[in-house]
Amino acid sequence: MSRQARALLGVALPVSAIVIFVALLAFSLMRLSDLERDMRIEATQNMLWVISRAHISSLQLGEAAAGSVAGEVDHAQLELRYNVFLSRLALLDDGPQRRRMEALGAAAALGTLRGSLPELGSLLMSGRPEVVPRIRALLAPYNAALTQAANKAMVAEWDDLGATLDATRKQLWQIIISMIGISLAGTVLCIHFLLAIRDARQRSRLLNQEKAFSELLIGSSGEGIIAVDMDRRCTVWNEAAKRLFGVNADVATGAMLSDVSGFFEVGRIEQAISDALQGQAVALLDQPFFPSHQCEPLYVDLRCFSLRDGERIIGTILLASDVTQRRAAQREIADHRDHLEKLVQARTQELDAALTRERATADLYRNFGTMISHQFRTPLALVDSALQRLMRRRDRLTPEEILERGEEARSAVARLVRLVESTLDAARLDAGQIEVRSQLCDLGDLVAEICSRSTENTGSGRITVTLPDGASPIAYCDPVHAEHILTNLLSNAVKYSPAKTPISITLTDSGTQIECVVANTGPQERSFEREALFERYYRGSNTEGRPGIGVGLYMARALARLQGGDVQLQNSEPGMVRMAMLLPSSASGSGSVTAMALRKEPA
Amino acid sequence: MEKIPPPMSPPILEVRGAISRINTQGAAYFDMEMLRALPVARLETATAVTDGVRRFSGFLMRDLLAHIGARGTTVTARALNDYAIDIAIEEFDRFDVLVAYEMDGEPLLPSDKGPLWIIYPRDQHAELQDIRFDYRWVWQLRWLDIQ
Repeated sequence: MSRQARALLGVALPVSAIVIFVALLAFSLMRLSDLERDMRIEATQNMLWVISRAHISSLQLGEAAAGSVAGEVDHAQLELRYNVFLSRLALLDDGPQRRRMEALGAAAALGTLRGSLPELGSLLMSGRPEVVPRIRALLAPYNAALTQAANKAMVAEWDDLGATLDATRKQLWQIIISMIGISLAGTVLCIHFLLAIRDARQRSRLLNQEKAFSELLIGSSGEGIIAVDMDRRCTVWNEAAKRLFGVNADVATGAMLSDVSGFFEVGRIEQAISDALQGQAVALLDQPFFPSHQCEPLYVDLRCFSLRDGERIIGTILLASDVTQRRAAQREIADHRDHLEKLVQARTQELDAALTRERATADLYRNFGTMISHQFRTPLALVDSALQRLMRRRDRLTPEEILERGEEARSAVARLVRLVESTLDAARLDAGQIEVRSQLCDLGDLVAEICSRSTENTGSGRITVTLPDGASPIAYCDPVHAEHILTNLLSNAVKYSPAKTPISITLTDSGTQIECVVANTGPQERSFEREALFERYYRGSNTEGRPGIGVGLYMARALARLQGGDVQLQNSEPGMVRMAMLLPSSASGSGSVTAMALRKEPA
Repeated sequence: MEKIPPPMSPPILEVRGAISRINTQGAAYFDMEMLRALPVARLETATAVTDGVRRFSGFLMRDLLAHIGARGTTVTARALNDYAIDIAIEEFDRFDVLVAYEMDGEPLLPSDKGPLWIIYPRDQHAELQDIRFDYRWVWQLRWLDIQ
């Protein structure tokens, strides 16, 4: 049987059974109502009794008339009998009884009697004996008619009763058959309902199984599953939620969510639940939750979704998962990464520094090589040529000439020695073997002494010295190193300025520092780099053809700095070079002028 | 025994039995004048033996019984032709049972159903439309015996 036909039968069968049931019931009720109505007995159906009472009253009247003649009955009794007789007659002649008498065929006798009533009345009142036969003659047809009517009434009543019983029996049978129909329809309905109940039970059992499975799913979930209704009352609280929040399901279920845990009273969480109750899906990640039994917070990812019944929102479902471990792992990874970055950065810096050092070293050696090739070769060539000339002209040379050549060679050797000493000084400086013995030193005297020594080589008049007004500038320094620096600066000025041009030395005291500026005429275009001047073995482009190894300024600056001072190339007008030596003044030094004797360098 | 005045004309109703007020030889006799002196009651109803609705005038049976101080439970009503019926006395309290002496404004005659006819309020109470009440409509009422 097809599904559709089955469904149709499932509806059509009970409906038709109900229709049949109702129709038969209505029919039965109608029949029963008919029966009830038919069972009423009207007084007119009691005609036999009425007729018999009339008959008796007629007979009693006849006897009373006879008794009256014999003197046995008084007038009052006769009148009573006559009244009773008239009353019975009137009853028969009235309304329903009259119609009944007509049906029984006794109406004619009644009419005849009514016509002879005046005569009967007067006969009875006369009281004479001869009227008795006449009275009997008048009553006789009435009595005969009543006898006949009684007979017919009896037959009619019995016939009526029989017919009524027949009709009743027929109606009863109809009712019985209807009842059987009703029972059958009822049986069909009962069977249908029993089957429907069985189906419903089966369905509810399946539903219960599905519900149990759903509950098992929710209970087994590792994620906390919480459902709340529109009043934020908790309706579902699974095992994972119990473990996370430490609240049993029987406590949580039915309670307000905010009463279950303070976590749900936090503004963000409350807002998220409100949003979900209005139909939005909300996700809150890494929300801290402080359980009552520990001080370390747990971190919870919370997702809220609306629960819908069709279009209507009936609540919200919250999925809460404990992400504390994941968060800790992420933090550890981040920390590790930061640490690695720092390590790499430090290592890179180290490598950069090493590279810079290596480059500087390479530059140093390259500059050193260049310097050696230039500066050492010249004196060696001079020595060589002097020796060659001595050897070639050994026979012709005068002792003067030999002395001259020897002096030339010695001068070159002396130059070489100076170069080597300078290089060694630089090496000592690098090795930290230079000692500084600072003391109060009159720079004015120092400058004057160096100038006088220099004038021996350059000739007088080129160098002018300007001292500050008043007191002589006293510096707190090592006089040996200060002299070395000034000598270097002055020899540079002599060496790199055109001949006969003036060289000025200016001393100023700023209070904390003594500044000693050596100014000379220089190239128009600056052909050197400011800071490169102070690098070891650096030689500017204007040094070509001039002896030197490029450690002078390097040494000068290093020594000045060792004493807390400096050597700087100052800004100047074009065509001028201004080199300044800065040294701490006596005021800033640790010693005092009075306590210490000024050391005078011997000339 | 209390006395009530005797009838001035031939009596038409005779009450005896368990009553406290009498006028003649242990019984209470009433002529039409005495009966008409009782509170008049009226009733319109159909009857089982006539056609159509009839207007009856008379007095309530319970007024009469009260008048003569009846104490029993049953009233036996007997007619001129010795037709006798027992009626439970409480029935007269449940229903306004009339003893009529007029129908449609005309006095009831002894030659018909008079002079007194017990009338039940048949149209007013459906339960009275029953053959078991129809036989209590005693006409040509002459005697009442209270037991």
